[in-house]
Amino acid sequence: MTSDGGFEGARVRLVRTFNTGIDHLFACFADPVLVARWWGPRSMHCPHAENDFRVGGRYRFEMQDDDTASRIAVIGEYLEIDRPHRIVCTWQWEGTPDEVTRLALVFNARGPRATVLELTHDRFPSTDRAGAHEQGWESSLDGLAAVLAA
Amino acid sequence: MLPGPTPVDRAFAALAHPVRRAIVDRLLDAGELTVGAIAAPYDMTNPTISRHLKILEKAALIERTVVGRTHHCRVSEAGIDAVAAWIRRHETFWRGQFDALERYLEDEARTHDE
Repeated sequence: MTSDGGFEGARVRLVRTFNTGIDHLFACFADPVLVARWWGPRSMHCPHAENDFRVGGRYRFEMQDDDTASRIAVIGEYLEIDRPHRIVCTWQWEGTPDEVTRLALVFNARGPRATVLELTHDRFPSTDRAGAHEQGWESSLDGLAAVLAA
Repeated sequence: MLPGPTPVDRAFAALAHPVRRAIVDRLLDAGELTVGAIAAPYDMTNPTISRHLKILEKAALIERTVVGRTHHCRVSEAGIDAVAAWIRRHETFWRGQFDALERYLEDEARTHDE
C-alpha cells in the first residue's frame, strides 16, 4: 500500500521538509559531488556518482555496503528538469533492464532554510500515457454504445 | 525468460487508471461486491465497466465467481500482495534515503556553525 493508504496511488509517495534552502536541496540531487556525500541508506555509502544533468542525459549512482562491500548502482535518464523546482527521471537498478520505473522530485521553498520535497516513484515511465490512452478508448466505447442504442 | 510484461507490470498497468484503483479500494473495504454494485456510482456504460473488470482480472488483481446470473468480485490476495510488496520495498528505501539526506544536512549545518 502507499503511504497515503489503499491503492489510490499505486506508487510510492513521500513528502518531507528539509532544513535547507531550495537551491541547495536541489543541488543535493543534481550535483554528483553533493550526491556522493549523502546517497545511501544507513550502513551504505556512495563511492561513485556521475551524471550528465540535462534532459536526455544519464546518471549513475553507486551504493556500497559498509560491512560487506557489496555494490549496487542505480542508473537512469533525465526526462524533465526545471531548476530548482522539479526533476523527473527514469530509475533502474543496474542489471535489471526489465524494471525501468519513474521518479519525480518536486521542490517547494518554504523559507531560506526550509524546503518541502515531494517524491513520487511509480512503476511505469508512461503511467500518464497509459491513463490517457484508457480514457480515449472509453469515450470511443461509450460513443459506440450510444450509437447502437439509438 | 519470455519477453513481455511480468505479472507485476500488468498489475501496475491495471492500477494506472483511477477508476480501476477506486474499484480495487472498494473491494478491499467491502470484501466482495457484485458487478452491479461496482458499476452503480459511475455514469458509465456496461461495456466500459466490463472492460475495467476484465483488465483487473487479467492482471490477477480481482477474482470473479458467478452465482446464477450474478457476478461477484473480490480482491485476489496474491496479486495485491505483489503490488504492495513493490511499494513497501521502495518506500522503505526512500525513507532511508531521506533520513540519510537529513543527517547530511544536519552535519553540514553543524560544521558551518563551528
